[in-house]
Amino acid sequence: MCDIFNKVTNQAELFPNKVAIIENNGDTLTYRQLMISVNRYTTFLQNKIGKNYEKVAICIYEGKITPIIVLALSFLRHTIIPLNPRLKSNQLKYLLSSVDAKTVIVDSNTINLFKEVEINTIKIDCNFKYKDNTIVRPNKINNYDDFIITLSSGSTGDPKPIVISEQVKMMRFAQAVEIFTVTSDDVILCASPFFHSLGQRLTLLPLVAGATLVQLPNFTTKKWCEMVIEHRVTFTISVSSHLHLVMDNLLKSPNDFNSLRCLVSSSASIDKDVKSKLFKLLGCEFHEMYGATEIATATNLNQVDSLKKPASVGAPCKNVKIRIVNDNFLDKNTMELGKIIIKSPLASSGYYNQPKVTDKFFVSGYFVTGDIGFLDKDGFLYFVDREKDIIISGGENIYPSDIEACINKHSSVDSSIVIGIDDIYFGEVPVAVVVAMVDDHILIEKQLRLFLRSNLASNQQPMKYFFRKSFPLTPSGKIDRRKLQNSINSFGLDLSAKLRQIQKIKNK
Amino acid sequence: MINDETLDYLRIYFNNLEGYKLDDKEFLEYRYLDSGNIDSFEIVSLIIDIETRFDVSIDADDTESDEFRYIEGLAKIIDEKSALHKR
Repeated sequence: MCDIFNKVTNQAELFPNKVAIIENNGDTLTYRQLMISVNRYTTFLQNKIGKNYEKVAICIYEGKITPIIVLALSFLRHTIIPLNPRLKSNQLKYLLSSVDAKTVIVDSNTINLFKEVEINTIKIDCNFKYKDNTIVRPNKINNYDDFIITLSSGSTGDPKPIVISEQVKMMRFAQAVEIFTVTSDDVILCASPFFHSLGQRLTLLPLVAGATLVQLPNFTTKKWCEMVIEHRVTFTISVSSHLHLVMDNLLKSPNDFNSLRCLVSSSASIDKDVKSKLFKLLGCEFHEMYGATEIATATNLNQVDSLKKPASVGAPCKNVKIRIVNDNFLDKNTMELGKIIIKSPLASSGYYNQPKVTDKFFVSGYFVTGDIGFLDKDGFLYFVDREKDIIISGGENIYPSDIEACINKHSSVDSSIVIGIDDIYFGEVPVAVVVAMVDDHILIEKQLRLFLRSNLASNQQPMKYFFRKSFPLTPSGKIDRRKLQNSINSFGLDLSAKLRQIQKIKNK
Repeated sequence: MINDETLDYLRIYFNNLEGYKLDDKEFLEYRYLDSGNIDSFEIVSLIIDIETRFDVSIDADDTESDEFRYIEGLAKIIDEKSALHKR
């Protein structure tokens, strides 16, 4: 198995003048220019970091610089730790220590986030000017075990640093190439951030495949549509909240989007009528998939199967084994509900420096997804519910315990519960239910909003606060989150309505 | 004239989002919604925050207006609404 750096260098030799990257602002880099820039940054980073095999975090606002830095770091055999630049200083500090990062690469917008953190900070200029040179081809280098560590959320309490080796990352690219028939003729749009595993895949896959990467770091419906039309995008994987927003435009003027040959929805499923319209009008292949950063894509539901089994998330991908088990890991029968556990050759080696957590989630080679579902007689998987309390908002994982810990610091708060409620734009949004020790709820809410805003990321802010005298309990005496969730869902709050209004105007 | 309290609030809010260190003139004219620097979570969070902080309701007329898209206009919307509310 070839390493990522050599694979992209090969493409640069095959297609030196082909466009490798198209940035949001229309700037382009050819493969030759890309590799010359990578060589330049390799020398720069080698001087700044010194020895190889370090843990190097990246916290930058994205553009063509992202793959350049990633390829340079991979050549130097550093473990790459992408960070969300929208997190707060205290959150970043905690995450850096959880992965033993000694160096962080920043830009002019993010440097201040690390001014109180003891770490080797390397500032890079994201608007660097390309200078011509010759490509230096390295000797064959071996794959390395800790290629990238993806942090599962902007978590303050319980970060799960998911370690992926370079070989597994390459196998994940190969899987995508096979399922979605990606070739060097493709123009691939990446509208997901690099700290998200989907963003990593969509940034590196085009370069490894010799295709063209189109970058859209800040998604808006208008920009997504413009980029697809202008650059004749052929393939992308979208989180469902993005797909939901662009769907109207796709269906309204399908001819404008006829370059699209394959669209993939990475999370929640898309209405089957919409799917068949999309297929009919655009002639575009449509896939849904189910998976997790720990195991990559585990199932795939293609166009043909989705007509027969619209409620399924698909059949297992090649070499992936799916079991439905009870609490003792004994198999359930077909059509019987149980825990979804998955074995995949594309699985992560575990959580960095957390052997106990790794043992809990990786049992006898199977990853315990924390989801509930069943398999039908043909082996198709059906996702029914999530076992864990995680909230998935706009495709990103949010851990209620992080938000609850922050709310509970308020002197007038007795306890709090954060739950995800249904939302048509984000999928789910967090809301807080608080038991307070004093009656001035309006004041407490104002203070909490102010406090949380400076301590948690934007997607961790509860969209609404509810105050109660106590929490409902389950028969076993635990707080009944599901009951709270159902009761708040029954209010039919449309918390993203105003945002959608703004997005609509923005697109005119 | 914009209320100092409103302006201070907005200055703190936007300075809290990294990368918004703007001088006063730039700040008032700053078209934050078109900047691409504010994500959808932040937009929702900003609206809810304003509604809670000033006890006002931001409605469709406001979000559809051009004023809503830049800081000075947004401050005016807040001030007009809270003046109405106090009457």
